[in-house]
Amino acid sequence: MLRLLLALVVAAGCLAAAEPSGHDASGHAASVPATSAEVDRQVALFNPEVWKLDEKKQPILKLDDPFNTPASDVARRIASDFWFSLLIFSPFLILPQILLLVIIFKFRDRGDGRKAATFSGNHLLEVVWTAVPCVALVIVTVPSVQTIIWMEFPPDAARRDVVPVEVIGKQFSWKYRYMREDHAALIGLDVAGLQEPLVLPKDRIAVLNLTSEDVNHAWWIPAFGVKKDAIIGRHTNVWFTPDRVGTFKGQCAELCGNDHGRMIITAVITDAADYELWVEHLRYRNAALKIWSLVRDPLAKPEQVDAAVAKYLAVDSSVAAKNALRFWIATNHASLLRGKGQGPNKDQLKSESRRDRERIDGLLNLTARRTTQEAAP
Amino acid sequence: MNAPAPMPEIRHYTGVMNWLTTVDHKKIGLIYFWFVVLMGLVGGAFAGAIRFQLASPGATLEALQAAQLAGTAAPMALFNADGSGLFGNYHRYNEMVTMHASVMIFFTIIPGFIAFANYIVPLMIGARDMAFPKMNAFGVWLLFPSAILMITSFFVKGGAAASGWTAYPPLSLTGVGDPGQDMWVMGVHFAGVSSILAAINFLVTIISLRAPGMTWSKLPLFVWATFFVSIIQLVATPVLAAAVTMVLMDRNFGTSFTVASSGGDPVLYQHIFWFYSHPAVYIMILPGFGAISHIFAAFSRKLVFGYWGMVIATGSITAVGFAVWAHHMFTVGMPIWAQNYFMIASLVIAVPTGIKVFSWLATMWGGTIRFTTAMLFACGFLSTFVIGGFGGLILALVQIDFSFHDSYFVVGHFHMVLVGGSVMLLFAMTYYWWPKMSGHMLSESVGKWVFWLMFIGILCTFMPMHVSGMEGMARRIPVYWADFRLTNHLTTGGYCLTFLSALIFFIDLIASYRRPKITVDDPWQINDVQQSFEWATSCPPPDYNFVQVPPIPVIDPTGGKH
Ligand SMILES: [Cu+2]
Ligand SMILES: [Cu+2]
Repeated sequence: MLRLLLALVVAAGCLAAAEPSGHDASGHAASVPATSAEVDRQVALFNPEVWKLDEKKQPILKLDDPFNTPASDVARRIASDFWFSLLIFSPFLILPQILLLVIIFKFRDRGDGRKAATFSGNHLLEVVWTAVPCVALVIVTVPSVQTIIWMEFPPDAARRDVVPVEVIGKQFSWKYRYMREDHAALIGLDVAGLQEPLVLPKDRIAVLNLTSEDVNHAWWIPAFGVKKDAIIGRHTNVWFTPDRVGTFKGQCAELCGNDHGRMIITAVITDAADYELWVEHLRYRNAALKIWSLVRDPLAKPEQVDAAVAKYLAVDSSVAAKNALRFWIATNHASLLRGKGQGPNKDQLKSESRRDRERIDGLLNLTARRTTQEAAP
Repeated sequence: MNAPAPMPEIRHYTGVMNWLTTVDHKKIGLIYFWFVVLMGLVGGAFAGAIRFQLASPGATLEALQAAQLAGTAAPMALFNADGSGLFGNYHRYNEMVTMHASVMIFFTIIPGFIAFANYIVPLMIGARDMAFPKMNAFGVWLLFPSAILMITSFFVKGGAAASGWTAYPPLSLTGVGDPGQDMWVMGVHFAGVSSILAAINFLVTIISLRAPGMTWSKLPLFVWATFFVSIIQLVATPVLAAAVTMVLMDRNFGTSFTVASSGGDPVLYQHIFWFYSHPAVYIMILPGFGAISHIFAAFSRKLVFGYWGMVIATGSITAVGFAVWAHHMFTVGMPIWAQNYFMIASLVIAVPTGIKVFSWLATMWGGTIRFTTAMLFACGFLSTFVIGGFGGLILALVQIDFSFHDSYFVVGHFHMVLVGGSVMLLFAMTYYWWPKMSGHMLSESVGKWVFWLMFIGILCTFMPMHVSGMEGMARRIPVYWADFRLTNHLTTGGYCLTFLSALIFFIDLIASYRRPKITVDDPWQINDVQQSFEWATSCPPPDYNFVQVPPIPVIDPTGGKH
């Protein structure tokens, strides 16, 4: 059965690959250079703050639970099954408590010489309290079995496109590989402490394929109703369709070592256009991070940065590439500011951030103009 | 005819040596009992360390992360990531989580019921001792090296085992060379051997040492329960030994039962482990189910309702209990048929359990009930156990388990069953049988305080845990999202009440020895209805219990009407 599902995932992946890529959807972002306000929006979207407490020391990002604020079709179905079975089973919770109270008040020995009853069995009663629970069990089991089967197979996966993602757990962070087109793996790296979110589009089926590089982990975001173990040497699968845009918190659910409690998970659900943007940005990530490390290197000479940017554009000088570089520089600055930007450092870091971003913008525009001039004749 | 063999010289010891060398089932029962009481306090203290970590107000993930990002000092907590806490780092926290569970399961609840079975079962069936008295003594003394191995492992290099009481590989295979995990495995082995020996002893005793007239159809329910539980222990415990041996071998001898990179499978371990550990939950509660029937009947002045229903229910829980283990591991990814099968089988166990609950209620119905402390604990047990069992019903449903698995809902559920169930049972049994076992009464007025503090404490500790879990709090974590502050504070408050009541009980237990000796056989004045052998002999019973076949007639527990 597992193998069947695996095959299904691969097939679904190929199907997604066969479809025309969604560049058109994100056309507004990919074909025009983004304004810096747009870059800031992207940074806030793809690098969300899940850690903050507000002035009342309440979390700024609430944890959504699967029963009250579900955010996927799976969670909604689980929630309705949950309330339904709670309802059907509740007599078996409440009835004994009521009977116990009745007994306590009614049959207390008050020393009035009342004699205790002498019965010690009643076939009819025993049949009733054996049979009635059986009926309740059947009533709950039938929809449960249906849900279990439904959860195993993504619904009409052939018609709707699927987003397959490989999820790799490693003490104490998560890696995501977005499997697309040529199955070239686009790797989301981890930044210590601030883990990158899993970005998924709203209303498309996400199929996660989980594994681990070391000990057992479990990927769990309550709002999606999804929890699956990541086990070394195995691949487990789970699917869900996120249906609410937003940022969602979760964490590793299987004891995996010292920092198990801090192995958190963040997922960002976006609309289709932003998702395309994210995948686009991921494509340039590694190259952009090289430039970032030069920008922040106090020993690096300005010419080195210029040369690196020129090299970056020599490989790909599309607008998307430029936007991606600007995005990653801004994102890393935001992380830096978030981390070290408390207290006296704050203003200095802010001005450094502005300086670096302007410099990159300048370099890109400059080189961009030159490339178009060369290409013109 | 040969001349009779010369009588071997019997040496009589007194004082400490008497206790160390005893093979009397009653003394051994008391050794078990005191071992369990002390271990319960140790395990409870470990729980305290966990609760106080989770109570520390600054210890939310958000606050910690903010501190880490800002490079400022982390908030004060018992355990901190950087080791600045009072008790060290998160590794220590995981050690506490592991040892709390191990001590409570292997040294408190399982031997707790064995303590009573040791003392009461031979009396109940009119036997003069267990079938194998020396093996019985060996069994109890094995628990001591076992406990010493586990608890002293805190002080070895690398600390105690920190991979949870489930010891899932590959996590339990990390830190090779540090002896903590290996000491844990050996501790489990010793406890397991002790458990198996006790099981064999009970089975042989119950099968072959019943007094004349004590037929199977007249066997007291506590004896029936001990009989079934001994079967579980005998069959399942070797399987646990196999599981932990795989860990031991993989760690130390280069095998790869569970090492994925060389062809093993970590999930194999989980299946084998739970094949023991699910039946183990019945080891931890069925004997109490048997005992509580006697308590309900005794203080209601009635016979147990539906004797055969009870026996059959216990037997079917035993049988089906062997076939539901994988409900602990739905999230590892299983074929659909397996998910459905394990769900349905787990749900089926609710039926015999329901029979028991309703039969207990019917036992009390129409009685003239005296609310002694033992009866209060019995009623409290019924109430909390029903809540715990209800959580189990919900968790058995696969799709809902995907949300609840390894969350605090599970923690709340099994604590509701093990503390609200088993521990309440142990307290009820103690208040009921302590006069027989020690010859001294426990204070009824202090007992009422103990009960109410514990009952409220249990509800206050474990109900909020269910809520935490429903909202998404993972288990075995030293810090949590700020969303869970309220429920965690409630839980810590409840813990304090529960532990306080246990301490009061402990003091009263010691104080009971200073009270006057009981001079009657039947201090609860119940034997006109119960007609049970243990109440027909002195408190405590003399050596070898009965000089002759017990003098009272065995009554038909069904009242002859069934
Ligand atoms: Cu973990
Ligand atoms: Cu189980």
